[in-house]
Formats: sequence, structure tokens, C-alpha cells
Amino acid sequence: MIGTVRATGALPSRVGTRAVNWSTAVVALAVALALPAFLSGFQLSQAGSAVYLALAVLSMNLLTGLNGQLSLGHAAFVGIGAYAVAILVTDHGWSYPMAFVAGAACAAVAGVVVALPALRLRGLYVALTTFGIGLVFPSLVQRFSSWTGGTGGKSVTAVYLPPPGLGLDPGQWAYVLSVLILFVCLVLVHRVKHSRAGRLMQAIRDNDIVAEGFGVVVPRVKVATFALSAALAGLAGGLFTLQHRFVSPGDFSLNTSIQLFVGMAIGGSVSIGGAVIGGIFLQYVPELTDRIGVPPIYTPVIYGAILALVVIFASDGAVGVWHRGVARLRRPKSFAVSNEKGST
Amino acid sequence: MTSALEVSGLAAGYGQIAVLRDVSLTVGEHEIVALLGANGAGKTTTLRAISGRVSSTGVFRFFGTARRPRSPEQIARLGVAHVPQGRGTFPNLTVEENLLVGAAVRRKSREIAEDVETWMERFPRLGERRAQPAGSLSGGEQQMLALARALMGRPRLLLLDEPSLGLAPRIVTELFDQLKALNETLGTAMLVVEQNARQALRHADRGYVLEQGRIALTGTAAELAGDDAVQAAYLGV
Amino acid sequence: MTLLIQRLLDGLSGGAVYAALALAIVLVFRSTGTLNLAQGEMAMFTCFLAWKLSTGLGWPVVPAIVVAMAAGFAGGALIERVVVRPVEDRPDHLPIIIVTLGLMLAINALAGGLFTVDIVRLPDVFPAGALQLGGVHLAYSTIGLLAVLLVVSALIWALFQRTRIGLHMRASVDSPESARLVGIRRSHMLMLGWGIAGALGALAAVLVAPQTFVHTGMLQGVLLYAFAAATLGGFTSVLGAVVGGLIVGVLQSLAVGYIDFIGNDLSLLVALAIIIAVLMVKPNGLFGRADSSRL
Repeated sequence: MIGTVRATGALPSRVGTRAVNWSTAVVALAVALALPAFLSGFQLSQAGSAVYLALAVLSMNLLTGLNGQLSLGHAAFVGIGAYAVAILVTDHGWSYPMAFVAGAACAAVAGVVVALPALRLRGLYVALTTFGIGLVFPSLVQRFSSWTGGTGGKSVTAVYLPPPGLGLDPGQWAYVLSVLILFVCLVLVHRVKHSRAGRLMQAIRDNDIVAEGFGVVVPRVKVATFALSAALAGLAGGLFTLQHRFVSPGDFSLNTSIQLFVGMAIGGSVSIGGAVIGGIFLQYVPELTDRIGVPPIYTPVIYGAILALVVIFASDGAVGVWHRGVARLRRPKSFAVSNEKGST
Repeated sequence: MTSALEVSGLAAGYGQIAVLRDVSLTVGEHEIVALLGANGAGKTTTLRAISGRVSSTGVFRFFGTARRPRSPEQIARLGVAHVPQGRGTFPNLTVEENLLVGAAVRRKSREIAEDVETWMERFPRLGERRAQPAGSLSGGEQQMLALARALMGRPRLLLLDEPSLGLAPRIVTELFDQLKALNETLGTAMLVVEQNARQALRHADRGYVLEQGRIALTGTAAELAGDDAVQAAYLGV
Repeated sequence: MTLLIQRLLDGLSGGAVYAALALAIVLVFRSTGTLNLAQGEMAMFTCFLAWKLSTGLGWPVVPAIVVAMAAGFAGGALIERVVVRPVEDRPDHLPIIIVTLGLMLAINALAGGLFTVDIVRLPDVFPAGALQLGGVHLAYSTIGLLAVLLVVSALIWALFQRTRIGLHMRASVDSPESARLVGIRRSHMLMLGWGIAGALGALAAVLVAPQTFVHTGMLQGVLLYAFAAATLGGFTSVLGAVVGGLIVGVLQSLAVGYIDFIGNDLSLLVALAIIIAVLMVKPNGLFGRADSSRL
């Protein structure tokens, strides 16, 4: 399964790492932080959504791009983080930072619960079970409606007040904080990627059996990666709550999961910076297509088409479609199918 | 006289690895031709290229027609049956179903049913096991089944890849006798890849020797059997 | 006791629908070796088509259903040919899964855009009312559903076991390379498999429509149940899909009825739990073959 997960728009890890240019990153951060001075409240909330989406896509990059695991229901982890923060700050009087940590922890625990059975399943079945989790999550919200507010959603009354002296309003502060958290997470994943642990993750992605042969404890690394990915997703959910101060099950449906998948495919699953591109894409492309005359209701059609195109035209694993400029995969002719290693 | 198969300038390989470089061979109608060579010389790839399982370049002429179909199923529909190494039976289908599938290119169901009975009689062990899954047969029985299934398509050209592999010597002799008999009664042309060169040359009309993806030697079966190099390399003399 | 029997009957009635959709899943799995996550959305789309014909154009409901099934067949075959074929030959089957994920998203949106995002009603196929048997309601629709399921599974069985084309389909699944070598057009078999699956999906959708009504999300939950049924039945077995569907339907009805914690809200969790439990304990299900090495 591993090779092809990378095929969804994967960038080769070598290119991805060397291409991280610190000055670019700092400039991007500065621009992002300067935006509140130029954007209206509404525009800023849109930019904030892109930030939260980028973090969610980053969590999938970590899981799929670095470790070759698959999750078709990742919005569930985002939702767990979002609801945890919403409940803790509203009903239990927690501060936002503490609630963020708790939300990420809840999501991480859920990630471990999902990852453990997934260890024993083959790729296709992991796809099926995570698909099921994505589908079931909204009904869990419904079931525990006394905490979650059910289908009607839950309003978050607590406002995270900006530190005095910055001269920011709460909306701007939520945005700035989101950008900073995303940046820290991007750096974190970058560091992880180049650590010993990150190389183990990638070794497992590239070849389980070889990794095992070198003494890697494959299950432990896989579960840990899943937990870390879920934690990042939960943190993204926390940012969602911080920005919107309202959560409802529809925000974390299976469709959201699939959209995150599209975001990953767009950015390239192995590229860390690609997560930012994915987040921006998911936030602004619907608006863009609306402006060129495609009714918003059809935006998912475009997403679906993108997903199919990326899978069909990205070659198996090695090089991402965006780096090759949509070079058409040279597929063998119809009769040239022989993957088996027969004798000559 | 037209040939069952004429191939010239055949080149083929897997991915970047070229296995065949410039292979030319002919199988005349009603002829049995042996294709000999060491492991890795390209024998199996030659058969796969002919039946369309491996992409290749070169000029192919089946039964005198120049048009070369692209896919294995189209080539099969011309009357070319390929019995691959390892038999390629359908393990979860019964013996009878395997034979029926072999007639996929034919239309007349009564003739097909008659042929099933014919081959069941010809290979009595298949008749005894007609309702068993093919996967449960012994190696020799599977080879018989693969052969019978190929013949169910009433092929004009039969490509056989190592038919003797894994069979006891007594059964090998039996198998080649059957092939010879089929060739004589039905006139089916055959191209046989065989490790057991002695056995193959005993029944073949002509033969080719492949070395490193090229035809190194060709001649009648008797010439090849008498050739010093062939004797040393393949007949263990 | 009466309540138990009533719940069993309700379960069988729901199970018949899961079985029909599970049959579609099994057909795709058998031909292509993968799961079609868009199976439910394809079926939903054709159900809207039946609705459009019957309420929009005033057709009687049965011809509308027949046309919807034909459209399901054509749509399934077309999707196989156009979007699945290009990734069909990949050494593993996750690319197809991801393509079907994209299809799911796209078809859902198309249905909302082309038909309506509202909840609408398809006229019932079976008469309302029920037989009263000692306090138990045996709804006519339950009888109808089970009868349709029986006929459909018998037809599928006959197709595979008694016809030449069914034999070729089985051969094509059993050993794709050998099938091509004997001249079977594997591509046709794949299109046929997806086409029949599409028609079955349409049937499942119109059968479940009286309970779920017709809307873009009508089959998302049903699809998970159908996956549970197919998992339980072993993914490769026609009989397994039918038996699995009925068992899953009954389990759902009992769990919802007797376990307070689950109730109506968490009924989807039952499906997920079945999927995970079966995959952990007996990955080949009740009737599956152990040879699905292509995964």
C-alpha cells in the first residue's frame, strides 16, 4: 500500500527537504502576521480558516507522506480537538492554551485507539475502517448531545482575549495565534522528518520489511506517528473553535475528511510546505470557482476530479505530479501488463 | 505455404531491461518447433511477446496476415493458445469449467460440449475429476488440463512453455507422445520451450537455440541433436 | 417475545437492503479487487433519477425504477471505463479507492446540483399495511423486500454459475492473465461487473427510499452497513453478501432496540464495530476465500 499512498501527489522527500528555505519561511511568516493590518474582519476570518485547514492537512502529510499510513476519516480527529476545546472552555472554565493541549491529547488518544487495530489490517481494510470512523463521528456528537449540543451545534461563549498592548481585537488575535501555532507545527514536523524517528517513519513507508530487518519496531513507530498526526489534527480543531467560537457536527463530516485528503493531494503528501498550499487551496478555491461562474454546490465535483486526476497522472511514488509539470504517466500499453517476475 | 507464425526483429523486455534483442523465427503450419536455451536466455519472454503479454517491437505475421493485434485476448482470438509456465489454470474453477473457459473464443455451444467430452476421454484422469477445482489436481494432471484447455479453443498455433516442468519422466514421455499425436491428427502447429532438450528434439521438426536474447543456432531437430555445441550445452553429452 | 420477533423481522427488512448493496460491493470487489466507496452515492444518484421520472414526469414507479437500474448499469460501466481503468493495473488497489473517494464527493455534489438538496419522497413500491400474526406486524414491504432479495440473489447466482458470460467473469477474477490468454476480454468483464453493481445499487436505493426518503445523504449510513455485510460475508461471496446483510440488519435492530447506550443515534457505530471485529477476528469473513492476495 505504501508506494501508492505516495502517489497521491507526492514530492520526493529529498526535494521537499532541501527546498525548505528558511528565509522564504520567515518572509511567509512575516507576511502572514502582517495581514491583520490590511484585511477586514471577514477576510481575516477566511485567512484564519486557511491556517486551520493547513494544519489539518499537515497532520495528514505526517501520517501519509512520511509514514505511508492512510486515514480517510481524519476530520474526526479535528472534530475531537474542536469539541474538546469548546466543551472545556465553555462548560469547565478552562483557559484556551490548556484546552488546546487537552484537545490535542484527546485526539492523540483517539488516534492510538484507531491505530492499534489498523496495525493488523491490510491497506484496503485500513481505508475501510477509517472511512467508517469519518462517517460515524457526527453520530457520536449527536449521541452525546448534552455535552456537544447535538446537530444544532455548540456556541462557545468564552473569548480568548489578546494580551494587552498588542492592540489586536479578539478576531485578529485568534488569527495571529493560529498562524504562530501553524508555524511552530510546520517547524516541528520539519524537525521530526529529519530526526532519527523521522527517518524510521520514512523507512517504514518505503519498505516495512526492510525497516523491520534493521531492527525498527514498526508497530510502535506507526502508532506513535498516528498519535502525533491525530494530535496535530486535534490542535487544528482547537484553532477552528478559537476562530469560529461555534462547532457543529457538519464541520467534521466525512466530506470534510475527503476535502482534507484533496488538500493533501494538492500540496503533495510528502512536502511539508505543501500543507500550506493545501490549506489555502481548500479555503480559497471554492470562492474562486464561484467567481468564475461555477456554483458553489459544484465545488466538490472539482475536488473529486482533482483527486482522480492526481491519482491517475501521478506516477507510482517517486516523483510528484507538481514537480514534473503534470507529465503524463507513461502507462504501458494495454497488453504490456506483467508485474510478475517470471523467468525469461 | 503460409506459416503459422513468422517473427522478425523481435525485441522485448521488462521496463528498462532488454531481454530479447533481435529474434527472428518461423513456425510452419503443422510443424513442431522447439525453442531451446539456457535459463535467462529469453525463451519465456519470446512466448510472452508472441502472445502479447509483454510489450515488444518487431514484425509479427500470424497465419500469413500482416495485421498484428495488440492485446493478448485479440491474439488468442486469432487461434493462438499459450500454455504458460506453471500451467495457468483457473484454480477455483472446476476441471470442466476450465475446459469450457478454454473455448471462450468459440460460439457453438454444442460443439464445445462435444469437445469437452472428447478431451475428457482423451485424458481420462481429467474425466474422473471433472467436478473438482483445478487447484486440487496434481502437477501432471494440471499440465494435462492446461493442454486440454488450450486445445478447447481449437488453436491453430500452440505455444507451450516448459510443459515438462515438475513432471515425472514417465509422464513427460506420455505428454510428448500426446502432443505429437495431436500435431499429427489435428495439424496444430506448436512452438515448445523446453528445458528437456532431448525430449523436445525427439518430437520436434525443427529447433532454435536462444543465447542472451538472440537466436544463436537453428536447424532441423536432427541437425541440432547432432550439433556438438548443443550436445555439450543442452543434452549433457 | 412478540417484541423480539418484531425486531427480528424489522432487522430482516433492513438487512435485505444492506444485502442488495453488499452484493454490489461484492461484484466490484470480485471484478476489480477493491472497494468502491462511491457505490452508495452512485445508487443515491440513480434513486433521484427514479424520483425525477416518477414525480417530475409522472411515470409509474416501477418503470421509473427499471430505468434507474438501467442508468445505474450504464453509469457503473462508464465509471469503470473512464476513471477506474487508468489506475486498474497498478500493483495495489489504493489508487482506485482514492479515485472512488473523489467520485463519492463529485457524485454527491452533482446530485444536489442537478436534482435538489431537499429531502423528497419516492412513491412506495410495495403496498402499505401489514399482516397481523399474533401481535407481530409483518409489513407487506418486508415481504416484498425479502422476495426481491431472493429473486435478485438467485439471478446473480444463476448468472455466475449457469451462464457462459458468468463463467468468463469468474475466470477473469480467478486468474486475470490466464483469462486474457484464452481470449476473454477482461476489460468487458470489468465493465460488466461494475455495471451490474451499479444496477444493484440503484435497486437497493429505491428499496430503502421509503424509510430514508430521497436526499443526497440517504445512503451514507446504509453504505457503511452494506460494507459491514460484505465484510461479514467475506467480500468475495455472493451468498456471503446476502447472509451478511441479513445478519447485520438483525444485529442492528437488536442493538438499537436492546442496548440503551446505542439507541438510534449510535446505530452506525454497530456497523463500524462489526467491520472492525470481523476484520480482526476473521478477515475472510464467513464465506470469503483466503486467496485475495491482490490487496
